[in-house]
Amino acid sequence: MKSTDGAAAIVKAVTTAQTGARSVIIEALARIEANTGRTKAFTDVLKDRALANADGIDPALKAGKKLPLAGVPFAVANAFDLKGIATRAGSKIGRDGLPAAIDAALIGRLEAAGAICAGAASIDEFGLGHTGETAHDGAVHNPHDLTAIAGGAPAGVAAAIAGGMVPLGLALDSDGGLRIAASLSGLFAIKPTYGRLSRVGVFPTAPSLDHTGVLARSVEDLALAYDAAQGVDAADPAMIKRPLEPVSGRLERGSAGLRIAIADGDFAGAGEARQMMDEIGKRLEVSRRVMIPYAQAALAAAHLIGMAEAASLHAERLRSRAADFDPEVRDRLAAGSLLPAQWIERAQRFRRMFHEQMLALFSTIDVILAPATPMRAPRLGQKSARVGTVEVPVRQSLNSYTAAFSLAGLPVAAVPIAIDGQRLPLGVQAIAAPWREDFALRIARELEKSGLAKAPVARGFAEE
Amino acid sequence: MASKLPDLDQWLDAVAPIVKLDVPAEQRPGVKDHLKTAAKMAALLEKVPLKDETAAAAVYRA
Repeated sequence: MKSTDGAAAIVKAVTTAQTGARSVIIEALARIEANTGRTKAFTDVLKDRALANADGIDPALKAGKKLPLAGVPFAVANAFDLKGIATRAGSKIGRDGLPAAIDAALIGRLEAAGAICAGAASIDEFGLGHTGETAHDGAVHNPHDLTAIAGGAPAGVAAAIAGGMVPLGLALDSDGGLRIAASLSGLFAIKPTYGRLSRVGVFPTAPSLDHTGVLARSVEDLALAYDAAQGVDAADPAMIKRPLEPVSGRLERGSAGLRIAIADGDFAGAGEARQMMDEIGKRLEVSRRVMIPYAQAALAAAHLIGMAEAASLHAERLRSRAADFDPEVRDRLAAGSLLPAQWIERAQRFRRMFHEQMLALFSTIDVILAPATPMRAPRLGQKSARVGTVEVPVRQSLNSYTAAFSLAGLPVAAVPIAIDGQRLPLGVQAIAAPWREDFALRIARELEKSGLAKAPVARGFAEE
Repeated sequence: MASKLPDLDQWLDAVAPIVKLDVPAEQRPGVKDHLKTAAKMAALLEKVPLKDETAAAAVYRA
């Protein structure tokens, strides 16, 4: 049993005592040690803690405890609090903070289900970036192609999973980070409805846009972790009181009975993204197209709200420690401090109208499909990329298809699609109405079953 | 409205001191780039008609 196996396979082996939780974690830690140098995936490896937790799993199982994630190693973005470690959130400044007194709530949820946190992984500074090229911890390299970026903001988490070091990860999705990372690193991911999963103990990026979510290499694994992560947390002001709505038992229904449409207009994609959407349409036999209203304005509103919220969050640090920020992040925060209040209020009023319009679309559609990113993973340091016939700036365009759905708080599954002849994958988003994560994940499963979607461990990482 | 971009230097010089932010010369081009993007985005949003009764999405839930 290896960490390159999926979570479900590990759970089966550990619960049937074919292998011990300790041997799973020892193997994962060895892979992390062997591969962090070439990927820069992890910033903190929790060897002692992980081994101690693993030693508790087998006795708990023997005592009859049900552990749906028994022995599964996982990574968290280093914006998640881990007891005893200063939460760096990709920054230099964060390292000077006090060690966290307790773990982030979602880490506790997964560990209560038997999973084992193996370490904290690299992210863009304070989550404010889309490429994982952090100034402080070194750019994260994509395991599928070490000359390419792995990000989204939680690039290290994606690299840890795509590189077979762990099968699961937790990260924050503000304007798309988790889904961008999934698209560029070839993983499945779920960004749930705003208010579904606790964000307590996670350093925010832009609070009204921030969602916690999960990444994995299969839909089954993703659903196992997502189900374990659910539950009300009164300490998160965005949290809505909902009953647990587990999805694991529903996945095999696939697309049966679901009304699916492919996003058109600004979300149609160009070049490879367009071809991918055509191929998905054929495979799922979907011909219906739908226009997302005010697509460009939604991106603008998310951008302005994100700028203002991050500027407010970091105002004091920006005055006192400007030199310790990544220059790109510092300049964006400074600009965010200077925006007229009326612009932000208008963006928030637009947001309500946009949300209402999206809900109206979902009265006749269950799932909307759109590309996750305009392009496959660009090279490290690459400034612009050709998308169809147009040259676009990399950093500013990676969130083009994700930000609007964060703005509306809709649940989205990111699904990795292999492209013929290409080593790097590209992701598609399955977007559903609020609280219908099950619909989004059923489409992800349908695409996985069809063979179009898959998330293998990267070549050169699976074997050794 | 507002298809014409604001004067970015004037904007920066007027507002930065109000929020007690020192923006040294070498940072000005980067900050101005972001201001320019923000102004374009705000102009885009101004064109979307909103009803007077449309409340902001970030409303406190009692």
